[in-house]
Amino acid sequence: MALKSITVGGMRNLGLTHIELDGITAIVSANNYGKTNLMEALGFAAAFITASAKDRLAMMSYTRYIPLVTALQDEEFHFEVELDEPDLGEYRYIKYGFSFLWMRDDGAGRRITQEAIALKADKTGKWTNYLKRAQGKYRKSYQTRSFSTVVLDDAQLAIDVLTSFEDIAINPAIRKIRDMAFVMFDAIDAQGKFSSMPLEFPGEASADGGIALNDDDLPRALYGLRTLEQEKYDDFLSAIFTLFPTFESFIVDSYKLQDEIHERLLKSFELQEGEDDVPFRIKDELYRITVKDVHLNQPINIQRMSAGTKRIVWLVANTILANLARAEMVGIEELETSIHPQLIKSLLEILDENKGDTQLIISSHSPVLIQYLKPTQIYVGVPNENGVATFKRIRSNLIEKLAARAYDTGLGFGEYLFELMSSGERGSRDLLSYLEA
Amino acid sequence: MLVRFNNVGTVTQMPNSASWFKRACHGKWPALPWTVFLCYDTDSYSTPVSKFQNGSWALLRKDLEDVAEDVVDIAAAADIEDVMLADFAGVLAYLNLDTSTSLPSGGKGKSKMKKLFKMKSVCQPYHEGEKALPLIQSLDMDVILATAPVPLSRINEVCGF
Repeated sequence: MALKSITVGGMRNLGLTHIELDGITAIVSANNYGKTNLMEALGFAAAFITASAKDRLAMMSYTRYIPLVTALQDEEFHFEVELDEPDLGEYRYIKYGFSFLWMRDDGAGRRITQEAIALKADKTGKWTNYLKRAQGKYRKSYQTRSFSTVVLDDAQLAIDVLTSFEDIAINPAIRKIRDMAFVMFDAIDAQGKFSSMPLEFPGEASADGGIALNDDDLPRALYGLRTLEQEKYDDFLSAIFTLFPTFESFIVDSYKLQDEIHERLLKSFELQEGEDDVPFRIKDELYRITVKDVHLNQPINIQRMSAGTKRIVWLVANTILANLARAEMVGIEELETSIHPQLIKSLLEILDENKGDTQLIISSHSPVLIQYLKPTQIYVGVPNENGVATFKRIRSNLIEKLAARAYDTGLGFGEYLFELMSSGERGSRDLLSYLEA
Repeated sequence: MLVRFNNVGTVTQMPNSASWFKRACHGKWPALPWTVFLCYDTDSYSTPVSKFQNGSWALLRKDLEDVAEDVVDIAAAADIEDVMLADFAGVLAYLNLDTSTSLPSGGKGKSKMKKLFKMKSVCQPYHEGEKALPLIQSLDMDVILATAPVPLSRINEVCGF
C-alpha cells in the first residue's frame, strides 16, 4: 500500500501542513522552527489510530503536545492521509482523517470531533464518503445508497468498530487504515543500537528468532534478516560495501554467553525464600557485528567504529526492514548528522533503491542533502511572525526562476534556499514569494 | 592541441564551471579558439537522486557561449554506465560472468551495472568514479565508439581526428 499524502496540524506550534509524498521528501527550516514537531505529530497520529479508547483519552491530555502558541491555542489536532492500495479494486484510493479537541483547563475537550472515510476507484474520480460521524451514520458499500447507524463515544474512532460488523464491503479498506505503520528514526546518535543486552524485561517484545523494525538491538535484527530473508540481507550487504569500499567483511552472528558469565548472572539473581520471581530473563543467545577493514589487521566489533559509520549502518538496515515490514512511512531526523557530505548522495541513492513503497520523510539542515532532491520533494518552513510552523513547497511555475537565481549567485539550488532562510527579513520575504499559497 | 577537463562533481560546480572555464581556460589562453564539450545525461535531473535541476545544463551552455568558439553537446538520455555497457561482452569478461548472462532490465546503466556486479558478489559492488577505472580500462573503446548511445564520434569530427 502506498502513502500518497499526509495532512497534520494542531500540535505544539504545528499549523496545518499538507505534504504530497513521492519517495523521499525533505522538510527544511532554521533551528527551533518546528520540524521535529511535524515528525512527532505523524508518529503521534499513527499511535492514536491504534490506541485503545482509554489510551486515547490520555493522549488527548498530553500537556507536552497541546498547542501553546497563541495563534493555535484553540486549534484541534487534525490528521488526514491519502493511500493507494491497488488490491482493493473499487475502493483502491483511500482518504481517511480525524480531528480531536485537546483537554481544556475547564475539563472540556478530550473528544474526537470529526472523522472521515472516503474511497474511490479511479485516481481522477470523485470521492465517495462512507461516514457521517456527527450523525452516527456509515455506508456499507458503494452499491448501498442508504446509511446505517453506528454509536461512537468520544474516544472511539469508527474504524475501531466497523471492522467488527459483518457484511461491510469497505472493511478491507478500513483494515488497511488501521494497519498503517509509521516509524520514526529519531535517534540522532545510533551508538546505543549495537549492543546486545543479556537481560530481557517483560513488556519488551522478544525479537529473538525474528526481525524487529527499529530494534534497539540492531545486531539481533540483522541476524534475523540474514536467517530469514537472505535476499534482503544481500541487498543490505551490497549497500554497506558500496558505502564503505574499504570494508573487506561484515559479519553478523550469534553467540552464547560464556557459561561462567551466565552462571554468575544466575547466581546474582538467585532468589531467597519469600522473594518474588525476578522481573526479567537472561537470554541464551546474543548477537554481534564484526567488521574487517582493509587497513586493520583484524576484524573488530562494530561498536568500536565511528558514530557516523554506525548511524549509516543503522539507517540502511532499518530502511530495508521498514520495506520488509511494509511500513507506509519512515521519518528520519537530520539524516546528514555524522555523515560526510561526500557520502550523502550515495546514501540517498541506496535508501531510495531499498525503501520499496515506503515513503521517507527527512528533516534536514543540509543544503548539500536537499540539492540532491527535486524541488517538488522539498518542503520549506514558511516564515511568519506568530511562531506557527507550516511547511510549503516552491511553486512549480517558479522553480525555474529560483534555479536561475541560484545559478546567477553562483550557488547550488539547495545552498540558495538556505541562503534565503538565513538572510533575515529580506530573505524571508523573498522566500515567501516563491512558496505555494 | 590543449585539453582541459572539469568534472561537475560537487553540488555547486554547475554554477561555477563557467567561471572556471573563463578563468582557467579562456582567461589564460584568450587567443585560442576554445571548443567546449558538455558531456552529460539529458535525463540526469529526472532520477530520484540527482544534483542537477531541469535546465541546469542550458544555463551553463548559455554562459559558455559568451566566450567559447563552440559548445558541443555529447549528450543523450543515457548515463556513463550505459556507455560502458555498449561493450557488454567486455563487462561480462571483466566480471567473470557467463557470456549467456542477459543485460539486467529496469533502470538506466548505473542500475544495470550494479545488478551485474551483485551477480558476481554482494561484497564487491559497483563503484562509480575513479574506482571504475580498472573496468573502463578493460573495455574495447572501438566497440564503444561505434555503438555507445551518446555521439562520441562528434569529438573526432570536431577535433579533426
